[in-house]
Amino acid sequence: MIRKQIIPEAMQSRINSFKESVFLLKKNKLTYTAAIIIIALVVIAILAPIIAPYPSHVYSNNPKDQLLSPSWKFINGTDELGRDIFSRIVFGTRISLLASVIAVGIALLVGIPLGLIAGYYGGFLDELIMRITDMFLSFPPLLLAMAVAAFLGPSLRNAIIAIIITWWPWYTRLIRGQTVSIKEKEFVKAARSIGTSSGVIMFKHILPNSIAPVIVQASMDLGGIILTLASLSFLGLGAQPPIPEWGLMVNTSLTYFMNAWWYGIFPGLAIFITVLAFNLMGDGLREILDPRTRGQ
Amino acid sequence: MGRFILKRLLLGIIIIIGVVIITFAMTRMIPSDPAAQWVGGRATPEQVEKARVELGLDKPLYTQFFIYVKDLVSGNLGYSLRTHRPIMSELKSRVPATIELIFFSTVISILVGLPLGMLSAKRKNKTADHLSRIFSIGFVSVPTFWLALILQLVFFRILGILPMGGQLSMEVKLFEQIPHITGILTLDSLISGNYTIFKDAIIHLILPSLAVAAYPIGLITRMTRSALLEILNEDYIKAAKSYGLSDRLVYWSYALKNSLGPTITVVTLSLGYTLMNTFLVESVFSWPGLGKYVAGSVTSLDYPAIMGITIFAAVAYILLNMIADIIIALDPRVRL
Repeated sequence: MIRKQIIPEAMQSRINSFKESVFLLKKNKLTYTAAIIIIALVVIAILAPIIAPYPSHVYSNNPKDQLLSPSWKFINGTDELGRDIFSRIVFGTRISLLASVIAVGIALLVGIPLGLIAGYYGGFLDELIMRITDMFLSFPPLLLAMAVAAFLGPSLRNAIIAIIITWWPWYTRLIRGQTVSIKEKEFVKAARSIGTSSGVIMFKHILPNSIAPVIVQASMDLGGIILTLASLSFLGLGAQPPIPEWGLMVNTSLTYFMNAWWYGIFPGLAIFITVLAFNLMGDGLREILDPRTRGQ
Repeated sequence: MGRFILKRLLLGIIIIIGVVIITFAMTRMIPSDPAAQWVGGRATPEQVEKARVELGLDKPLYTQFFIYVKDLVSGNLGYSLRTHRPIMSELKSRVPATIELIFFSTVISILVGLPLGMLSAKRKNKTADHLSRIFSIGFVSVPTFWLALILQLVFFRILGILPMGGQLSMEVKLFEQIPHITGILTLDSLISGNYTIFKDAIIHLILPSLAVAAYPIGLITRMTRSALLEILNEDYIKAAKSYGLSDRLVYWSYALKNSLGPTITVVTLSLGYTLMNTFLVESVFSWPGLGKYVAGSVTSLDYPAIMGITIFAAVAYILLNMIADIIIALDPRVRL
């Protein structure tokens, strides 16, 4: 009898807060626009073969139309091998979005358990794990990714591995901080007192209560990772030709840039818009979810 | 105070040791054989074996590690596979150009970012704040190498008012005596009083510095804004206001002074990004610094050179962070 009354009430407050978040999202025009752009990008990635006017140009050459300036036929012009740049950018959406989701996903899978262990057990394990994250975080951003990518050998897969290696410590730190503050709460003590195992406490009780800031951070990182991947590819350490990766396209355009400005400008614009959308989204999300700024 | 600095120094040393371990581990992950690469593709197995002994690759791993550390301590970063010259001397000849670029772009980013962040915090949720938010997020999102291309396109190709790249124009290189004192061109030309070179060097610095400055401008603006907003919410600010002190006095003398700590942290943090962005921008503007060297080493898979730069940049970054922490700790209110 009592349960029936309490649960709907608890649920109701959660539903209300979700509705409020949606309302705040709609009110914040910039964040709302960013959300729409991100949805559009996902749709473009999924429907790439339908949207791209020349899907065959992604991997095969078309020597008769080399370096044509933008026209109705090729709206972003063509590259040195006569391929339609717009079609390649459309297919590049798939690579950038997928790569950054994979990188964030695996970094979370590595970072979260380590952070939980460090925060929950404390002591020597905590010290050890945190000093290791310190070492990874003390490299200038991008530098470690660059070195790892160079040593594994330049390829798209290795660039993603390099990004994961540089990114996981951030999540470990974040989760550890949350865990330390949550593990002394009553419900954790209660769980422990009835003999719940540490693993269950960490993953079933602490994790769900500490995941919100991690989700915000991860959504903000999606943009940062797209930018990092493009930078690595630009340096020649990421995707290799003929993969239609945006950073790589800008890199190959350097040789022809003074005579064919469109070659480098449009892929770079794609990177800019995508990263901007994710950053605006993350910024807005943080403001909406942060109780201190929520009401303002 | 003294204890804090000592602790911070110790931590810095531990981190540097960790960085050395990580980089050493990486050199052992290489899929290809460094000895074979050292002698080149057409070498006989005997020659490869000889190179292996010469490079110390035949010794056990822990001996190799100690040799590696000993070399590092004495400033020996090994030899480049590409040029067979000591990496340290190659880095030394390229560092000044990068330092010059970092210095100018950091000055630009502080001069633009700080006032923009202050304005944003002062006019919170007004149009100026929204605009500065869009700008700062835009600056953080723009790919640096792409911005460099656009600047080049607009100011060189279309307007024709700034040079395409390099450190000096051809005429200046041919007809002027280029001074070599510190290796930093603008500084050297000033010291030797050669204003023709100075002017030319500055003109060549404009576009690369702007491209590199974009990211830190965004970062500094955002962080200054949030640091100031947090401070403006503190009780002592409210107290000062309730005493009837003018808004201007409270803002300039109370809030701003107290936001100095976070600002120093942001500037050092942004130096890390600036360093990496010079790597990306230098190859666009053919700037003869570390970044161009990195790009060359990367394309030829010159592992010792890449490792040397990694250690060099990481140690510089760690030292900078340490200095920033110590400066902040000089503030008596920081609890030690």
